[in-house]
Amino acid sequence: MKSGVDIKPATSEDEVTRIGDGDVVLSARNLSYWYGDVIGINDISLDIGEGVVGLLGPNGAGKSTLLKCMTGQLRPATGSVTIGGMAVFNNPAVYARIGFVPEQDAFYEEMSGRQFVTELTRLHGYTADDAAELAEEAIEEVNLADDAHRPIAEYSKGMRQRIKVAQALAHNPSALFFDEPLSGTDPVGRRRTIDLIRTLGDQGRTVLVSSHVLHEVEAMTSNVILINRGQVVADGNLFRIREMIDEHPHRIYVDCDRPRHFAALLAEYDDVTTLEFVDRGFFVSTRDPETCYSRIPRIALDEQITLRAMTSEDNDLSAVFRYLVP
Amino acid sequence: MAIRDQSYQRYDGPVRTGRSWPVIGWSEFRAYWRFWRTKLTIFAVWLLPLMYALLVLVEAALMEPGQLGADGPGHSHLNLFVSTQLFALALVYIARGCGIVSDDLRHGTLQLYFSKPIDRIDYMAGKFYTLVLLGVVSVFAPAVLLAGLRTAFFVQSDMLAEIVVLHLQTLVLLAIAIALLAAVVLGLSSLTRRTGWAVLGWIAILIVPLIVHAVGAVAADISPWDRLLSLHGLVGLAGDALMGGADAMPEWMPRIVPFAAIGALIGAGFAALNWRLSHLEKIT
Repeated sequence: MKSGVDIKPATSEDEVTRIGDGDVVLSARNLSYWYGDVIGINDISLDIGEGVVGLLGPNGAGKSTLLKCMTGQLRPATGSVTIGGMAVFNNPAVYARIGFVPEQDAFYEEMSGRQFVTELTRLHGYTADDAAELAEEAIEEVNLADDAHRPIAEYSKGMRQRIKVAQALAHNPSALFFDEPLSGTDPVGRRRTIDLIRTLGDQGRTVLVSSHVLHEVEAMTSNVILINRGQVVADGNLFRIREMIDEHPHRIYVDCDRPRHFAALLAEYDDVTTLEFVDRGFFVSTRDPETCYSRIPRIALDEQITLRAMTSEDNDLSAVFRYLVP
Repeated sequence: MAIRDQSYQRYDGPVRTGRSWPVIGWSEFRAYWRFWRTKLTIFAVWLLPLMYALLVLVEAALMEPGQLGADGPGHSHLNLFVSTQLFALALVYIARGCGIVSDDLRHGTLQLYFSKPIDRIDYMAGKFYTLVLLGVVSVFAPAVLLAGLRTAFFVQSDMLAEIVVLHLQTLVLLAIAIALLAAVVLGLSSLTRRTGWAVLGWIAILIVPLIVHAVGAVAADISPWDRLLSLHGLVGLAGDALMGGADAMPEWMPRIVPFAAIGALIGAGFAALNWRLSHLEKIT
């Protein structure tokens, strides 16, 4: 353990990731799944407690496969998943206590939002009246009551996302799984979904949210599992991971009209480690990104250099993985 | 750390009781019913039975007392009726029905279904139930109406018992036909994500055997084995076996053959869907 972050070797035999608060709700042991010859997830063992946990990883890392194994959509090739001590796959008793928000828009477009949630809630064994009541409460919770009568075909992307959340919430599950819940949503819808997920976590539910965008997960929780190439590469506190990004030299691209002159000025500072020239500008690597970010526009202003762009390729998830995975 | 050593939360949520397939079937049927295309198609296939009903009324009005039933109980008319109802049902499934599973495959709705406390068998039975409901509304209900009308007109005749039995047999035959067509459509729809392909497959299954049958009829005498190759012929053979039309059944063909073939096709339809559900990783 290194200051809140547990960085794992490429193979983590007999090692169990433990994350979330309180008692263990969801448990996976030696979970693997293959798509033919391609491995989707590779020998993952983890225990997840209450609260929101972010499942972070680049596209193709195995996040969706892991979620599908955890929600019983796929039968793991090896290992097992349990929720509340019960095996998940093909176990309706477990499905009754989980809610799943898939990434795809999986709808009957001609149904109204209210009918959609009600019909899916009825599959939990509720009567039509009880299901309608629960659906109404869930729709209220996702702030969609005014539009619940409209056909789903007329919904915006954000509204579709929220109605999916409503169907996952209606039966009051203790564990919720969100697969890329913010993809395609507008800023307002994004804010609402984030607030909702945080509220669900505060209520003591286990909420697992997959995403490939670091700042999205950062807005919901500080507990994260980082997954890459089907393996858990790190778990722990997101703020510590942020610090790790800053500990490594940042690579900043500077697009300006006099790149060699600008680079020469920057080379005088101790935190600058390398300079690399490209077509229209140059890359500068620094050990002190915060200072360097403020320094670059100041020098440009003082020296009357036209600064066209200044971007960092390190402040994202792929940078984290570059550090964590050799 | 072993899983059994850990402290788990107790499950306090609702406990599911009963099967979910009626909910799946009924909600899907209601979703279909919301389309004007469904309503128009069903209205269109009701036109012919309504004409039959009108003819029954005209027959009863014009017939002299004592003439009722002079032409027999109407076995051949009912055969024709069943035959037209079969094509009507095929039309309904072209308009609505071929997407019963393929739409779920395409839209990823299976993920939602199987995150709920349902078994695979619930899903299969629910989808089959939807198609059966479509069949009941489209072709079975008019047959019941017609049976009621004819029985009412023959209530004071000597042929009442014969008429009632004949119509009950017709209804049983239609129920078998609905189950057969529904299972075949279910199987076809589960083989593809594209509803268009399922529709084309369905049309091919209906038309190709008829063409083969027609070619066979021109080339040689029509053999009962040819009838086994088409859904329409199968139901016809089952009708002959069921309604005692032994003349139409060759002596060397056991009466169980058409029913066995129908059972096998229904099983094949479910097997195709089961195969698809066993390979969900290909679609989710």
